[in-house]
Amino acid sequence: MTAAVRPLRSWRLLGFGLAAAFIFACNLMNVLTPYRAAPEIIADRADWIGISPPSNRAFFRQVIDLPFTPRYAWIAVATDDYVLYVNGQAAAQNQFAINAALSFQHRLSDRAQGVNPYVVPAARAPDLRLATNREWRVRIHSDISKQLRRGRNVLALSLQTADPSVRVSIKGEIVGDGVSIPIDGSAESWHASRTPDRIRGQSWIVSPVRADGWRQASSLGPVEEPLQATAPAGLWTRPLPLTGLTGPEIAGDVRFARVLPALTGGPTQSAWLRVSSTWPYTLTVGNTLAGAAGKTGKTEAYDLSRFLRNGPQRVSIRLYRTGLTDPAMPVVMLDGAVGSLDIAPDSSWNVLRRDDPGWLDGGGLWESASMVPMSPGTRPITLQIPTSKGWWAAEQAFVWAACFAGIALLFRALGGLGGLARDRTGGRAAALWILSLPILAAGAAYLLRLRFKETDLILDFLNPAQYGRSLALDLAMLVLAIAVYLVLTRAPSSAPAVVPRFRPGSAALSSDAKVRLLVLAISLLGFALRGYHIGIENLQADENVSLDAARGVLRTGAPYEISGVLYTRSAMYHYMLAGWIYLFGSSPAAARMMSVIPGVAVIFVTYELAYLATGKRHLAVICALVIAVSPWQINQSRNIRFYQQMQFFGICASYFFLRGFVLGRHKPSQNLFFAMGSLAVVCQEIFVLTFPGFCIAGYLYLRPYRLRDNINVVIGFITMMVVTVLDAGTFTLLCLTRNIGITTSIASIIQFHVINPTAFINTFFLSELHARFIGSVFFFAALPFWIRRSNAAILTLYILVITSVLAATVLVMQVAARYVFVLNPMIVIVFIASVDALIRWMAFHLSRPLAANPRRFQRAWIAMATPILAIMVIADLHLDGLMRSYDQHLIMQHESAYRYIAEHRRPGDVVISVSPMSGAVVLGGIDYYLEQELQFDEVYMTPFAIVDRWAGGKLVSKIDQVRDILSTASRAWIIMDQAESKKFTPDFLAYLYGVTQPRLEFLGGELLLWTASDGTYVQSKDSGGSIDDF
Amino acid sequence: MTWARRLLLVPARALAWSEARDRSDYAILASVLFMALSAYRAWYVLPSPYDTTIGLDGLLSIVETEFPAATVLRVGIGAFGAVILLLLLAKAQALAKLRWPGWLLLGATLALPFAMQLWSPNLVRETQVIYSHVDRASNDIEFNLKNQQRDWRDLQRFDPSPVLRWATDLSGYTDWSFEMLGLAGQVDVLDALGLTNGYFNVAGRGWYFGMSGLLVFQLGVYGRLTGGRRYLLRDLPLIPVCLVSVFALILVPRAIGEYHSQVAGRAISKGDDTHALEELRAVRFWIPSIAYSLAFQAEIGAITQRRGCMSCPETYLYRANNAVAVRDYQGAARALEKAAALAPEMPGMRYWLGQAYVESGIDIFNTGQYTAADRFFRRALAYVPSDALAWYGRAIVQLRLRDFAAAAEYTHQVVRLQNYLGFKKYPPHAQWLLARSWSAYRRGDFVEAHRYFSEYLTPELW
Repeated sequence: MTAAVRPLRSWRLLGFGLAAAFIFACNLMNVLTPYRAAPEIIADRADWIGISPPSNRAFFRQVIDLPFTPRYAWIAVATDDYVLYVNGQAAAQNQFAINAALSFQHRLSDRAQGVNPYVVPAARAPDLRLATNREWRVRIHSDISKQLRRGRNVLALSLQTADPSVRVSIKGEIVGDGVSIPIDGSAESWHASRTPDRIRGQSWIVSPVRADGWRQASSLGPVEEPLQATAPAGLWTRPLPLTGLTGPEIAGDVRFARVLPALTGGPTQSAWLRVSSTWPYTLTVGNTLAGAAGKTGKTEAYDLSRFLRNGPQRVSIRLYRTGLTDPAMPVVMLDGAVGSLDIAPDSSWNVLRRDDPGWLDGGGLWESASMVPMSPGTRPITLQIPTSKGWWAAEQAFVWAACFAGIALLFRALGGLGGLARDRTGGRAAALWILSLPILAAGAAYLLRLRFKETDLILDFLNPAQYGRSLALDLAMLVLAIAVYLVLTRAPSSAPAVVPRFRPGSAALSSDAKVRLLVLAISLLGFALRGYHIGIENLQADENVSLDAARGVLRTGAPYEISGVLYTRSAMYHYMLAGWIYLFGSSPAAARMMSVIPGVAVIFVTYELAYLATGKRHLAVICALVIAVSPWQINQSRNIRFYQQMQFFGICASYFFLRGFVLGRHKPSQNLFFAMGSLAVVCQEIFVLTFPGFCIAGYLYLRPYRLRDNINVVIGFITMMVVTVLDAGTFTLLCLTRNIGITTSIASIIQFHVINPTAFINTFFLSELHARFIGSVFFFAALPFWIRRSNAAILTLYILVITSVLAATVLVMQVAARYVFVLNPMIVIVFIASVDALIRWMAFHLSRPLAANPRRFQRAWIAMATPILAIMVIADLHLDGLMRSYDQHLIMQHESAYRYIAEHRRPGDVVISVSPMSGAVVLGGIDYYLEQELQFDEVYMTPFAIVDRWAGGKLVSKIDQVRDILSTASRAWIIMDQAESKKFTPDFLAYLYGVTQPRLEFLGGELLLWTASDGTYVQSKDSGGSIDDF
Repeated sequence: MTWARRLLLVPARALAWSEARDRSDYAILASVLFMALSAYRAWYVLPSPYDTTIGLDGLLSIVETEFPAATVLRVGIGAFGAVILLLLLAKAQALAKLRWPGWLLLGATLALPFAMQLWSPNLVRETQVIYSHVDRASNDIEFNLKNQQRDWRDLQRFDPSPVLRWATDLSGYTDWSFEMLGLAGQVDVLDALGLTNGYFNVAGRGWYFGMSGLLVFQLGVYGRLTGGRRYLLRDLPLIPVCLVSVFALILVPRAIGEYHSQVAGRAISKGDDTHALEELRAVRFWIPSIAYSLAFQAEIGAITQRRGCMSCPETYLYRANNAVAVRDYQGAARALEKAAALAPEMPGMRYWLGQAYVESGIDIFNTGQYTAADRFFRRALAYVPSDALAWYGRAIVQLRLRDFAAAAEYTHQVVRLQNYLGFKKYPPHAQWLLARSWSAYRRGDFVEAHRYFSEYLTPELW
């Protein structure tokens, strides 16, 4: 037996089998033991309604007269961002549109209906150019019986979308007195408005006036897209029967049970049970605790699908006394469905007469439960996520073991083919070669499922039809692998049987003009993606600061903001920006184009860096392509900030570092490294986070080191440090603006801390919506491979990425991925290089024992595996989300409100805003900054007043102050937004909305107008203190 | 001239010497420095839960204590550093043999918080009180400072909204589930290992120096020109296996305890209370510190309550836990007092009582009964002198009573307790200076008032 064959006999074979079984088990467990029912496709007919012409925001209301006291009512809404009000109370909501980085269904008011109840803790700001999740794909049900009343009722919906296409589909029903009234979702029943105008002095969400002056909503046609419900719709759409079960109390307990049949109708079928009990209770399915609750007047709904897939189960409900203040009569109301079979509170339920330790299994004396009529009061339904734990692991372990057994059997069976290829391992190598391909496909599919866990695409993975497709793909790969194997073994060959050692890649560089032309084409694509619709977004908060600072440079020669603050951050960038806007104008689109240039240049530099690190042009081209279409890169390249410039210099520095210190001793590169590093620091001081990585890599690879030979390194290092210190000193000038009070949030964001040891790591390695998940999996999984191969260039990239993220974790107080933006090309290079290495390493080792012609098997394996991994890499880019984002606004659009004010402002008008940033750029300053609760660097003290540091608005923080302003002005424009509104007390908000009229609704906020001649007045309580108190 | 020539030769010789050495020696020297700092700096020092009291002046009389295992480890790391130094000077090639003891020490250092959970739950509880209550007091001060509607002298009040976890906030005792294996469960896993935010921020610098020293030492060993790479490749598969094994091993008792907890839950759902009680006792055996969790005691109490056992302290703990759930802290305090009368030495009793009193004090304060609130805060401090929230409560009571000097003294106690945290927040210090400034102003010392106010506005000087 040769050395080449030995590994197949070792523990590695077992490890391979277990790992392969685990991958299949992970896929299968989603099918066999999903923790809840698969989403249902909504079959009933519904219509979209909206407003014409299309808009980002709209408000809808419907007035319903109820001639009876509602016992039961539900409403189902399919739309994007919304708040549903019933008689003025917020009954349901899903507000996500102002932050596209939020996980799918993460802001649902009923999280139990979301498919993604757990999300990884990470900073979530929209850093990526990706469209918002399509939340409208799921219809969310709400029980509104508690909010409705006999007589006139008002249903109101506040809607918002990131693109101007607001629409909603509504279904519902109100039941009472044996009568059922549907909640009409047609356009005729709903009135719509672009602004939430008051109706005869009352708020639009409460006004019962039918003739409200609003327009009729527009019909947008039937819903043709497949809407889904993530929990069985029957949980809400069926009224709870007015029959309760009761029985004798035994030692403080009343116990009910019945056997529920198995779910036999396939994965689309579901089983559920609703329980409303007067005493606390536990719900047990078989021997598994499925839930516990119990408060009079509430109903809990349980999805039991996963319990009943394996066969019939005995469902036991135990009502128990707490010994405190329990109602006298133990009664449980319940109903449910198993597939198409209805479960009713009838004599099929038994109650325990004599206790027995084995009562869960049917032990003891049972008799039919007594039925008692119940009063028709409302019992709101809440969905519960089943609580069972632990025992589910046994099922998973069983599936894993079964998969292992299956793979072992298949392995034996395929081993028979080994003889055909004169396989010296007795067929094991052949079996491995064949099996590895479906395993790779299954692994890729599972990784993609995890990758898209936080996006609406997860619905496609949860679709039961998808299960069959995955299985078919695996089978197809298996058949293809067998066929290819058989063809290859029968084909004649003259190639040598012995193959050389595996080589991960050649380091020899060569120039190739054609490839560079290809990179040029990719850069043009990158330019197009960065430049297209570059003005679609309003100026983002920080963009205003930089643009205003640059305008300050043109105005005064120094980066003065309109407010008077000297913005000393990144002097180089702001002076360059000043020159740019002097030449090309200061419109947002023109100013953003300055960031496009380093954004496109980074594509070139990434190509060169990747080529240097991997020695392969095709990998370098792929890296350049990934950077060109990367949503993070595109977003930062369209931003009037210094991050893109910092990344450009940082990647240049890394390139020269590899050339000068790691792969060679090229002195000009060493000097250029220090120059580029210094420029990167000057662009953004946070580049210092990479210094430990450079130091460690230099320590490891700059060997041997002699001072006299490397005096330029010492001089360069000292120079870079001096530049860094000077830059930090200049930056701190910013802090010379006087504090108005000391709070933790005014402290430097760079200081040692261990406040949250996982947030930065998650934020960078997973990113928003798991966008970097697959890349990070390969990044970490391949680390042992690259260490073993001692690939100095790739290992340097590892060192830079890991140490920088760790440094950010313990040094940067504010968790934001943009601070380590410079690392993105590095992780992309390692990802692509690792995918390539994985394919070739596996192909080599799997084919080596196939003695007849290993090279041919190797090539065939690579040819089959490459498309699988290529599909995974392409899918990982989420190009669909990128393309859809070009028609969307991803941030709040305050600038449009300021432009509206600029167009409609009259002399003497006062501007008050919670978000003054764009006011500086559009209006050249605002009058008042409205904020009740202050954050870190919002205000500073002048000799005359406390003003905001962007537009110089005087701080207004009390109702009294607002009232004073309004009493002296003829008109006042007030800008409010969703994010800042949360910092105001209800009193304050009631005052502001009470005295003003909405004039413009924009994504994330609204523009209000106070007019003296309206004569509106709202009372507010005296909150104490004098007006000027702080 | 000779001495001058010699002096000039020193840098040249130093240069020649430095160039002759393997650069890994510098890394190893740096690691020794870190280890020396680690041995010198305290690792885990807190006010002793037993000996810290309220002094005759009514202020904190702190007696510090260090977790014994931390002392042992820090001495061990110091000794390890000394051995490294000796070998570096005498026989540098032999340093490679120390890499496995180094990894072992690193594993032990990382496992220290877990050991503390196991053997010193009192200190864990003390950590939690200091960390979470300094944090809460600080956030409260900050909230009031940021809220422009309020004047801190007149209207500072407690934010009633913090997430209510106090009764069960013994870290690491979250319900275990399979979500913990996923990314969303990472914080729970860290908690289970004892590596909580509380631990991270209370652990002294010595702990961080120790780990840094051990890691830099390994960098030096594996980075050596002679044999470093060979050792690295040889150890590479074993290092993660060993570290994971250490963690897996320390989690075994926890896993067994969790298993019993789940069996107990099932027994409760079946109505088999006797079995449930047995299983809950088994949980306490495998996870001794769980006895400090009110929620755990309440699980037992739910059974004793059903059985009508009025002489069982757990019955009252169950009632207290129920009262906490509906934020009826005075009700909780009353139930806890009954439990304390039956079992005064029960682990955790003084913490529960202290917490109930301080929360009751906050409620009463927010209704405007300042003197009554102060009484509750004093009661809380009688049980847990290191409760920063109670000190803060006393301080703002004095603000309302316009006794700025006393307010400053009590705020200073919060500042003293904050000194045990690794990361400082500004507000306690700021409020201390501000109160001192107002105190000076009230007694007519305007110079001092100005000085304190200027200090207050200049955190760089603190």
